[in-house]
Order: sequence, then structure tokens, then C-alpha cells
Amino acid sequence: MADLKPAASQLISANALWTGQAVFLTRDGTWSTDPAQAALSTSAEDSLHLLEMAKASNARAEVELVHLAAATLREDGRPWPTRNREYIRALGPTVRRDLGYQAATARAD
Amino acid sequence: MYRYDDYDQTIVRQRINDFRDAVERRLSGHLSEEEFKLIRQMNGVYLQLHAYMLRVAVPYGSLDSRQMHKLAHIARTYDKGYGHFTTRQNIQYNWPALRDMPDILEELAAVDMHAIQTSGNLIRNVTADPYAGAAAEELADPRPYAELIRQWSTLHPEFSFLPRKFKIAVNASATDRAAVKFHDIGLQLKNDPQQGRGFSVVVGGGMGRTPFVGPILRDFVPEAQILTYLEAVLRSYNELGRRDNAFKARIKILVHELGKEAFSEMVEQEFARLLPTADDLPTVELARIRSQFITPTFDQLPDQDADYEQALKTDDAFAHWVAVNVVPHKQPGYAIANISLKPYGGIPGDISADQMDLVADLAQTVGHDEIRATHAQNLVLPHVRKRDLYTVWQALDKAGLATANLDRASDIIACPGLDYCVLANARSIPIAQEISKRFAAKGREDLIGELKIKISGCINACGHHHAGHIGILGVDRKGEEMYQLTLGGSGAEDASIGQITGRGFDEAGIVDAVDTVVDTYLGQRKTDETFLETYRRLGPAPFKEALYGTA
Repeated sequence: MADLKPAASQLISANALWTGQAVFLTRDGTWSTDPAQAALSTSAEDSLHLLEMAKASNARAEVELVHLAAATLREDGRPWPTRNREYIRALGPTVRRDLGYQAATARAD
Repeated sequence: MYRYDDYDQTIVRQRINDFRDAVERRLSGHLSEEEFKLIRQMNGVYLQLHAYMLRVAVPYGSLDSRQMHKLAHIARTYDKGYGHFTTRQNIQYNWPALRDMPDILEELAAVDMHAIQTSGNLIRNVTADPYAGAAAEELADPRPYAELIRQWSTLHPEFSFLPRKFKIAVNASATDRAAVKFHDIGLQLKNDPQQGRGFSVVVGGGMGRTPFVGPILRDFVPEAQILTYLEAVLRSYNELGRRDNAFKARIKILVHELGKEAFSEMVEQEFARLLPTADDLPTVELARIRSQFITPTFDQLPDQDADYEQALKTDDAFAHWVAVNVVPHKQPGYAIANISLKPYGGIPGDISADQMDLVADLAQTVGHDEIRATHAQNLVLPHVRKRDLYTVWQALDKAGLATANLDRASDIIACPGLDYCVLANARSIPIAQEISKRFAAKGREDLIGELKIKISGCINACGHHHAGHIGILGVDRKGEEMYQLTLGGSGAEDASIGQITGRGFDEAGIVDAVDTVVDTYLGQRKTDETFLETYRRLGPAPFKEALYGTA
């Protein structure tokens, strides 16, 4: 994954250490499997601040592969990753809709 | 089948214990991500988009029923009920949890399996002709050689930190089903009138960013000296191969930049230096290994079987499957049955736990307990009596495993792509599914005949697109998935690298483009000419014109 530079409108993602599942950093520094719960950065400084929280979590052996992901606000006001890779990471394989996060939710998208 | 001796068992058990310890230390925070990454990869554990992935080695693609049952058990117990056969005769699990990995490896060890040499810059799992020991035209069973190389290369101290990964393939028939010319080292067994049995050695083939059809570095290496020659090649590569740039670190780049002659000279010098002190262990060890690859005690049968002939006459679907998926066996009355893991519109290489159990049961009851995985992501029952073929087909058909499309347009090789893989730039599987559906709907696969379509989701080329008669490479263009088309590649004995047709296509466009290429072929071919033959006769021009127009 190409590393993004910290900027506004990003979220922080990683993989949970035990399961490898894609997770997203929330504003209070916990991780959620739902990208809509993620903190969307308001500036480059904000992204850096969130990134520091995520790296601390990595050092506590909670997550692997911490990285920034470009995101945008959906119509419902929730953040959502914009790039294909992050979108597929968030939902699960497009060829197996019965697997991954998409399978555990009744999400309409 | 080769059965592990105490030495093999000890190595594997020690590795599991070490890995269990490392997993516990990572989970408790005593190992950093970077420290642990190297260790997990050495044990076949990758971190992909949605989960960890475990790649299990299937040495030279050979499995028996107890191993296949175990793979099914692992899929059910630790994964989501399925596995994925890869383009290197291995199997991958897409969803296991890290904490379960040591237990999975324990389960595998109980049936002489492991995940060693499935990752890292070392000699990877050795691949071979999936019809080994069964092909009518083979010189000898290539698997004892592959096993010898496996044992020699496993945890080899000198070759555990090579500049880059290193893949060796062994083939023993005139037909190359192991893609030897696209490997770091490809060994082709041959008989020399004076020197007896030995190998033609191809060095420096490969796919990826910079594809090469490997040159023959030495036309003949006697069987007894093959490990010494491999050592000379590996040692030369280890010394000179680039370590500053991962994209230029494979032996193919070294051979290309240095030139075949200069590299060969270096290898010959090392070979000559090693030979006087090389012991004859390979001969002794080869005899021991060979004694374990006992040719099944085949029944002495007439080549024709009345019941089988009758079933062919009365059941068209069965006859069609036999015509497409069944190939001649060296033993009269027997056949090689290919099991397609490419149902129309399905995911290439995926197989459910129940399907694995069925294949294992068939191997055990009517297949001399042997199963093979192919680099085309299919399975093979290499030894089936013709009189049992109808029963086998009926069972496969019931389980959705009787698609009659071996080497046909819908028998598509596809890497996991962006649906699973952290390296991918675009999805591969949906493209394979759409192309497969298109050909199934048109019902003209028989008319088209042999056509190998191969799809990779990134330039690493795990989907072997360079070697596809029709190759497709997924790329990311400003956030959009685009697909480049290549034509005229081959991974067989007539190996060649496909040529890019021109500008790429989007997801819908690439399926149409493949259709256009096939229409062009059908319009231009001479009687009985395959797609590849037509392409080689005509060159790319008529295909480009059909795709892009003359402007």
C-alpha cells in the first residue's frame, strides 16, 4: 500500500492483530470494524494526531499495518473510504458478499 | 507418496514450536510488528486485506486422501468452509485467525504437511508436472527429483537469505505442464545416448514486472550431479544477485544483465570446483526417495472396457466431460481425470470443504489414493480405471465439480486480486467470472478449442498473464480499475510472452475485448488451427484492428 501523506479528510485504518480484520480508528482512540464510526480528520495535523494514537495501539500489540486512507462524508454524514482498496477492505470480497464485514451487517450500500 | 521420516518430522515440529512461541510473544507485545512479520512469513502466514492468509505447501502438487481430508477439516474448523488452490500448486486459506495458526500447523504436520518455503527470499515449494507418474509420454516420474530438491533446499543455511524468492520446476514429458521456462530454474528430464539420464537446465525465466522466457544454461547435467549444479547456480546468484532493488533482484535480471554466457561461465567454474568433493549422496538418497514413490499396483486390464464404452454412448454429458477433461494414462485400462475448479461464473481455484472431502473419498476408493493440484488451479485424479470413470463423473457432477472445460476459454487462471490481496491494484476474479459466463452463455467453447486465458491483478503476475494465450493485467488508473490485454503468450514447451495490444479497457470493456479477439480468431483460423497457432501465423495486426479500428 502506498503511504499517503497526512492531510484533511482521511481516516486511519489497520488490521486487528488477532484476526487480521480491517478496523478503523474512532475519535476516542478505539477501533471499529465499521468505517462509518471512524474519525475523519479535519486537517493534516489532525491526521498526524490520529496516526500517533494508532501507532501507540500498534505498540500495544492491538493492530498491524496502520495506515492513512482517503475518505469522504456520505450523504448520511458518516465517513467512508474512497479508494477501491479501502472500500473492499471495509466491506469484504466483492465476489463473496456472504463474507467479511458486509456479511455481518444489513448495510444497504 | 513420500512419507516423512523422523528427520522431516523433527524439522517440522521444531518449526511449529518456534512459531507458537513467536505468536505468543507478538500477541503479548514482546515482539514488534516488524520483528514478527519476518517470522510469520517464514511460516506461510501473510496479512491480506480482510484477514490473515495461510499458504500451505503442496510439494509438487501431490496429495493423498488423508491430506485432502485434513485440508477440508482445516477449512471447516479454522476458516470459512473453503480453500483456494493457487497458481503454484499450493492451497491458501483466506480467513484464519493468528491465534489459531500454530494449531493449524500442528494439524498439517499430522499428515506430513507444512507451510515452510511458501514465503520469503528462499527456494520456494518445488513444482512439477501434475500428471507425474501417470502421463503416457513421460520419461520417468519427476516427483522423486522434486522431493530430492525439496529436502536439499528445505532450511538450507546458505540459501535461506537469497536476494529474492527462487522457484524451481521439474518436468519429465515432452509436453511441458510445469512451465519450466518461466521459472528461476526449470529442469527438463532427458535421456542422453552416452551419458544416460539427466536434465536440460533452464535458468532465469520468470514473469512479474520483467518477464523472460528462460534460456537453457546447460543442455545436459547428469542426474547424479544435479544438486551440485543447482548449488553452483544458486551460489553464483547469491553472490551476484542484486539486493539493493527488489524489482531487479531475481536471477532472471542477473542472467539478462550479465549475459547468459558470462553467467554460465561463472556457474561452470563453481560446478567444476564443487564436483571433486561432491559426494554421491544424491544417488543413494534418490534411490531411497524413489522407493517411496511406489507406482500404484495397477490392475492388468484391457485398454477398452465395455461398460465404460456403453456409458459414453448413452450419456452425452459424460462423453463430453471425458472428451474434454480426461487424458490418456500410461497404463492400459486407466485414465487421468481432471477435476475443474472453474465452474461457469465461479471463482477459479476455490473449493469447499465438502468438495475436498468428496475428492479425497474418490481418490481413496477408485483413485489409488492420489490427487494432484495443478498450476492452472485445478485438481487431478491421476490414476482412474476407465471402468470407474462414470461413477467418478456422477459423483463429481453431483458436487458441482464436473465442469468440462479443461484448457478451454472458461478454464481461466486468476490470482485473488484486489478482492483479497494486499498487493493487487485491480480485481481479477470478477473479470474471470464475467468472461466465463460469457463463453458459457454462447456455448461455443468446443468450437473455440484450446484457449488459455490468464488474469493478474498486479504486475507481480501471480495469474501468469504473460503466459496466457490471452492475458489480462489489472492496473489502477487514477483510482479506476483498468485492464491491459496481451495476446500470444504460452507457458508450455513453446513458451512465449504475450504482447500488449494497446490501450487498456475498463471492467465491462475487457470482457467485450476478449470476445472480439475470439471472434477475430474464429473468423481467420484455418481448419483445426488453435488460437495460439492463428495468432502466431497472423501476428497482432488483425486483432488490434478488430479491437481499436484502423484509425
